[in-house]
Amino acid sequence: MKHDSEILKQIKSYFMRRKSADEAHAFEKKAEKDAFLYEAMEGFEGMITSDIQQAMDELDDRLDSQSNRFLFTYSWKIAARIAAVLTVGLSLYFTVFNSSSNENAVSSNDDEIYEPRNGETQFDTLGTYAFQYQEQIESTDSSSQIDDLDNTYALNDESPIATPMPQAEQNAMATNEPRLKEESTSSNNWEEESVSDENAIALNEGDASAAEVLEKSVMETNSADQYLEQVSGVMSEKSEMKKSAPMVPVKAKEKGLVASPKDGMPAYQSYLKKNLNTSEGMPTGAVILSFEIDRNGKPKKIVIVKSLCTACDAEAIRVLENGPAWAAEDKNTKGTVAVQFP
Amino acid sequence: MVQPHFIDLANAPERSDEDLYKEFVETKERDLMAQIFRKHMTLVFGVCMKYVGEKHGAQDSAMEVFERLLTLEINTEIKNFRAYLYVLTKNYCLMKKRGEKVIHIEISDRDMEIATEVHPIDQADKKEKALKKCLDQLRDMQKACVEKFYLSKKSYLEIAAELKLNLNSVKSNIQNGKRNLKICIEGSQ
Repeated sequence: MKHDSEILKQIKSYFMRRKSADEAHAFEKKAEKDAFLYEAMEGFEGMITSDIQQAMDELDDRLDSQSNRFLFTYSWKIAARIAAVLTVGLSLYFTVFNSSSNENAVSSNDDEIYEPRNGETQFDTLGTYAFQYQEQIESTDSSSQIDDLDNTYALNDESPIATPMPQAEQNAMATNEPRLKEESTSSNNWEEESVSDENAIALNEGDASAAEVLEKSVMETNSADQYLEQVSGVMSEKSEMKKSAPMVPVKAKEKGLVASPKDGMPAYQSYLKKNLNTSEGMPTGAVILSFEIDRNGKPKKIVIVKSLCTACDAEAIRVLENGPAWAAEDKNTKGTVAVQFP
Repeated sequence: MVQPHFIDLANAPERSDEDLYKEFVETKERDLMAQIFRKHMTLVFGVCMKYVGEKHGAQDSAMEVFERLLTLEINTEIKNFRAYLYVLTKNYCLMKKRGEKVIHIEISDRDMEIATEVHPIDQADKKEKALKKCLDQLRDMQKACVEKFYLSKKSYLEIAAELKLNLNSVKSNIQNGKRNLKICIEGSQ
């Protein structure tokens, strides 16, 4: 089962450097105030985000199997309760039915009305439950049927396996279904995130199967795109403030993948040179991005293969997203670009 | 008629840890504790990763912490479950790391205070004067890191880039600066 929680989402997004500088600071400040979170973050450092997710999924499963024993007895308890309620209801019904139909004919045999024994045919239609209860209890002197059933209920609660109750069990299972559905929808997001994670790793290692992994992510929905758009939105505001930063030569290179800029590499390089906003604090190095290309040649599903710094990553994504079109042979074409910072 | 219990469960809003814990104490149902634990499992695992340093060992430790929660003494009163869980996890991992046989973990009120500690700079308006004085007494790098983080609201990465430090020394400078500040402010009062 996929483990999903708000805090895990935030931690993953922080370590994948998907947060803008401001968001990163807000998260760091939260951690500074919260020793639990701070130490956990220290623990996660040096772990790959997909590894964190995997470890959490495994833990989730272990936790499930730990509490499964409970779930089993719990469903039996529910079943026992439903059965008890049913028996009470039905026996009341039959008691009333009996007394009304026999009112004229049988007025002397009060005992038989309250405690029907094997001879009473009506109880056969109740299924086996009522009989089993009665056999279990062997109550001889109880004055009312309801008291009896309360006892059975209590007994049944403790040893629920004694009497099989398929119908009640089905009921219990049916109510579990909606819960399961909820879980599966909420895990959708995560699949996508971890897929893009895999992309990053695969490409980093120069793995031959990188293309395959990328292909998988085509199938996924586009919420990662939306996220990146948000990030780049924030960044473009920031970069306007940084317009004064000196222009630095920027190099972009192809990495043996199919896509190339529509107007050729030199033109794309000069676009990058012209439009990349850098600030003084940025470290030297390259942000490597991989992406897919949509029908119009616009990069989509951008994944950070090699990160440099939060601000650099976001800026690199911004230039790539807003940049000139790429030439794509078919819809499965992928591209990689290295954006060099001073 | 008795309403089936599980219908309520499905529509119930998220309950607080302390609420769930209270019910757990009464009913001893493992699933309740699992519910609470699942909420904080990410952090528990992270802390275990820090002290154990290896994924499978950390997973085992996290599950052992859960087992420990299940076998808490009945009378254990927990006011702030999250803080309690943090101290429990940390102490458990530390004791296990030292090779001690973990039998009983004492958790004092003081530990809990640390767990929910608020940073001194967050109460700046009260102690502004002392703070300013103490800030000046800090070592250069600590002062720079603390100021940039808390006053200029820069992220670790930005500070690292600006001061040409690596990420870990930025963090330790902030931590040490914070601690020195606290000692200094408390001393001046």
